[in-house]
Amino acid sequence: MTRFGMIRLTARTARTAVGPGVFLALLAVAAASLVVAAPGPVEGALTGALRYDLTSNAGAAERELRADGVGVPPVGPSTNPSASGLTPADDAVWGALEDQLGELHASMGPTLRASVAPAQFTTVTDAVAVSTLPGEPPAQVTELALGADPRFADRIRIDSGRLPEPVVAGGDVDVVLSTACAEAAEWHVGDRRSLTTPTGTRVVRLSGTFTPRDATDPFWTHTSSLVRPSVLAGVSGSIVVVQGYLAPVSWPEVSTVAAPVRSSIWFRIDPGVVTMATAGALVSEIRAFESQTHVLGPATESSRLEALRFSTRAPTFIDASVRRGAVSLQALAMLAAGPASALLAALVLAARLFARRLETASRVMSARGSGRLRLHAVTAASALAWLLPGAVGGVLAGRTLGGTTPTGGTVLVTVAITAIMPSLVAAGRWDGTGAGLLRARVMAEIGVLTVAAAAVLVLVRNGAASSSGTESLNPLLVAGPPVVALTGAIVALRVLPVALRGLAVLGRRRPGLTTFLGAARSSRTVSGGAAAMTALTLGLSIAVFSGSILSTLSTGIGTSSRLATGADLRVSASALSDDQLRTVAAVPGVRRIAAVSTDRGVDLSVGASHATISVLVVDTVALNAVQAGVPGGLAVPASLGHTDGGPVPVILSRRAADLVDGEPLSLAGHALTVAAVAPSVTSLSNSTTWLLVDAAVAPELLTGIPSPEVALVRLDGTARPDLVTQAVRRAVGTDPTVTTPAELTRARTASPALTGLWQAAVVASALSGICGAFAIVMTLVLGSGARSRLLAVLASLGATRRDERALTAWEIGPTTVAALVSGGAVGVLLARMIIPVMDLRPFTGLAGTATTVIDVPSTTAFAGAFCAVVLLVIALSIVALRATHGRRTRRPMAEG
Amino acid sequence: MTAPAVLNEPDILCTDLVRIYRSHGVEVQALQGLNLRVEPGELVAVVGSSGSGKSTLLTILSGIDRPTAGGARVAGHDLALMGPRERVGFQRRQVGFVWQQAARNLLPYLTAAENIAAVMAIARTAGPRARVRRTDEVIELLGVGDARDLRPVRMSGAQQQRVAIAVAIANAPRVLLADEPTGELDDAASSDVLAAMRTVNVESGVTTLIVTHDPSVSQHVRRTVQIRDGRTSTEVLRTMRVDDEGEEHHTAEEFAVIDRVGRLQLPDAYVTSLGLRDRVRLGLEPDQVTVRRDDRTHDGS
Repeated sequence: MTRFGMIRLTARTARTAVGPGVFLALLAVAAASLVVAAPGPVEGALTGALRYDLTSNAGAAERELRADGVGVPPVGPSTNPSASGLTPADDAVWGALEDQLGELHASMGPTLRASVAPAQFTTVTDAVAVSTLPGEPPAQVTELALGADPRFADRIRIDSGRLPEPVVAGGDVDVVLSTACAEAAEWHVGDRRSLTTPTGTRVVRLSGTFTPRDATDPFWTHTSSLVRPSVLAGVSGSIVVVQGYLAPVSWPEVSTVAAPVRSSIWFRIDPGVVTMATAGALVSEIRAFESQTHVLGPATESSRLEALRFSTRAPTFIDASVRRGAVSLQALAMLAAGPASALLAALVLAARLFARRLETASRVMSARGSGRLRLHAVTAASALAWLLPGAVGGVLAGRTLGGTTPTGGTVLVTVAITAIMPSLVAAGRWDGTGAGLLRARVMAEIGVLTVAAAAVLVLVRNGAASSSGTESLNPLLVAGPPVVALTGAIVALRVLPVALRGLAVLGRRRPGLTTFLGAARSSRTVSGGAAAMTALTLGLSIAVFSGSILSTLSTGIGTSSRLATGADLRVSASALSDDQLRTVAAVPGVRRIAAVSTDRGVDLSVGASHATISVLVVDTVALNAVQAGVPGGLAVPASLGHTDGGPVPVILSRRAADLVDGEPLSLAGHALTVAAVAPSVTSLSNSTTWLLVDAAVAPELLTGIPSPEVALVRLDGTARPDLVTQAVRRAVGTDPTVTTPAELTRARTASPALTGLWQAAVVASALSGICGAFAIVMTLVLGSGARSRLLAVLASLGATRRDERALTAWEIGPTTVAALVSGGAVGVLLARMIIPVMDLRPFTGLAGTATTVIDVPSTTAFAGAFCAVVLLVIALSIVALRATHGRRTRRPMAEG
Repeated sequence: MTAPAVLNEPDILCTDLVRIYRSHGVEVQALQGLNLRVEPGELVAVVGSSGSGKSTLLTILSGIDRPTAGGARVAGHDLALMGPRERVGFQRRQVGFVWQQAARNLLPYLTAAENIAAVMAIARTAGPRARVRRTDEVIELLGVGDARDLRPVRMSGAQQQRVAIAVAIANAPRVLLADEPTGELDDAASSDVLAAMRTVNVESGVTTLIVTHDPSVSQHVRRTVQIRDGRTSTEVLRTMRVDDEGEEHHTAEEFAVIDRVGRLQLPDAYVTSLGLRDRVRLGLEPDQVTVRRDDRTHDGS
């Protein structure tokens, strides 16, 4: 025979419990793969949210790292002409600049360097007047700016004529204009005009007209009057300002005659490259790059571009998104507590089931002199033989599913939780004596209650740390919900036996057997269902809590959207013309509009000193009419429109009020009186330090009132907001931004961070439900031996199948019902306790804490779905177990 | 650890052994001062009806349970004072067990040979090669070569019990304890198993104690101890004599057991036959003690 030792004995022992072993292994696979895979999708969702925020919240220009300067950039050949990608002639002029822009790119930090596209630039002279040559018919008064770009030919498509020819010394200067500009300037291809500069006169010839190959290319946002002409109001009529392109090689000669020259250089940050993991490093490197002064090449008399300082608004958006990400991560961690606890409970129960299967073998080994330690070792090793491959398989599966490579530490922790812990649980089954178990239970309960009390106390007293702009988790918030839910389970486990004993007393008075016997048995075996109770309580409480977080977020976003819009509809632009305002007012469905002008940088006398402030000008009667009943409306006092010869009444923003600190105010020699103080952030202006005056008194205070930037619109009660919005958009054209609360809410809730939260809540609830149901089923299986013995006795006494089914239901019914009741109660408690201290501002955009909303439909939907999953899985499992049991009973010979 | 056995010490010695259980608040006296002495190499059957305390005796002798009072020594170990480590060593090397159910004797997922090797691996009594050798020895001794590579479920009842005996003696214990080893077997299989036990007893010299409710077992052993109400009541000694013509003559003599303080149990048949109850009259004769009915008691006065 082959040699037979402890290793083979252990291996053979492990193989005896194939059913529980396979179940254990599958649970280990599920748990390990979830632990390893989860960070991948979470990181993906957070990165997706970051990219979404960068793309949708920030304009293309705001994402650029840009520097503007006055002067001519360096001119000369590159050190490696063949690598520049330019023609030799163009390289001779632009190569040096390309080299230096490359060096600038190389000087960035590694994350920033990888996140930005190569530098782009524009170099343009100021516009100077061009006039028709003597003898030619007069044309539209035009000013021409000249620009050059070695790659301009790739960006445009010539509509008529041809590309400009290089300038021959002192000869005509060829330019191309966009077709729209040429038409506005009444300049035809081939026509020559005279360009007068401080340094002399040159003749300019229009060699061709073009349209951009890609009109949506953000490059064109850096050019003024290049694609479309600008029209200025002149003394004797309008002046058309256009910009034309020269042949790139002509730049050195032209730039000397048409001064001054302005240059812009920018690096476009690609949102598709930014990740949540590198966001912090990216922001740091951007800040470092912004803080430096960059000089392009050796400054000479002829090519002197001021020292450049780059800036961008990207960090603001990234920081905001990272804060949202931190909240998402916090919420995800809390959601994960549900399925994690349920999985752990299922693992513990499966380990006990496995140990139960080995009991006979263990008894034999014990009688043959196997010491307690060795029995532990054999049981643990047998369980490990199933669990370890499962855990390793789970790690590998999780790695594939999650698309991330876990660290060594993660793998170790995962294997420890999913393989070693259940093995120890299986082995430890032999340790407990009655008194010992009781002591351990009381100690564990005291421990959990203490931790829960401490967590609640700290959370209520200190609140959760406000979002810090990092992804770090608040451990108190992560641990709080499961610990509180565990407390709920503990209380339920203590209360349930008392209730069941009461039911047993009631049942004793009834004629049937099942109520008395079922309640009496359940009251004695409640502690056996502790794991199932814990899993279900945790699962349902997290499901209810998830529903509350999501409804609070939805409500908060809706509120902030209404506050941000400040009316039924909001139109904003850098300047809204009177025509546009009239057109908007005339749109069917619009009842009234209130236009708000903002005069920035106004000098306000504050006591003996001065402060710079923005002055908002609005017809306050119209504003009150538009904002009546709107959340966050300004509620302007009626006195604001009347001065009565005394001080002019104004409203101050909170920030402005803090700035002036009660000192007497005056503006343009007029004393002001503060009629009210309003929140700094309003829908009226993007300025936060402001004072508001009525349009009727504004002319006395300001030298000129700028064009309105914002128009707030009140719709007719019967009008459909979507149709009116479309009509307003058509009326005002593409430049102004038209927003409604509904659209803003839709845009905010479309963020992957929020949709990810929804998906996570659904997945967490479903997983918790499935694992909780498994825990119930395993409790049922663990009690099958005792139940079979009892049912055999009862059957011989005449009990019916119905009685048997009722007694089986009594085994799991009370635990399930109690767990669902305590889970629901704990869920509501968690929502009331934790959500107020969570900083949801990055999501909702509200200045204060979002009001906790336990939205009955969505919370019921979550809780209902959870219960449905639990009941379905229990029903399916019982059917499967019956089928298995049926097959077993038909076996001719029992094993062993 | 208990001191090594002194010379001429019996392998099993029970002195006034008492075991009282408390079950659901009710006190049960399973053993009420039992005395038993089994010498090294003896083969003894303890017979008793259900509830007589014989299984309790065996659980105490196997070190699984502890006596409430009295003394119990097996293979030189005082079972009342034995600690956990000593008990493990005791169970590994000093005693072997055979129980009624195969599930308690054999690991169902191992073959006969593997079961035998497993107990040696558990007890670490031999190296791998020695284990193989010893396995072959006990398989040959018990005559279960044909079941060597079978798992218990494939064996007959007699084979299962023979293999169980092989497993029990694999670590060469001083004492072999068997609890109803023939309880689930028919007569032929029972004889087969008891013959195997006798063979093992003779061949290896292991002290063997069989506990059973089956009185017919006494036909297979030299000494049978009857246990009743937690005490040893009678003993049957079988002797075999070969006469001058070479014929075997088997003689069975039944004795009552008297304890240290002179207590003995009268057989039920005697008590019933003479209508003995409450009080009896004792008489001391030069070579005997007589027990007579007390007529006054019998008359009801």
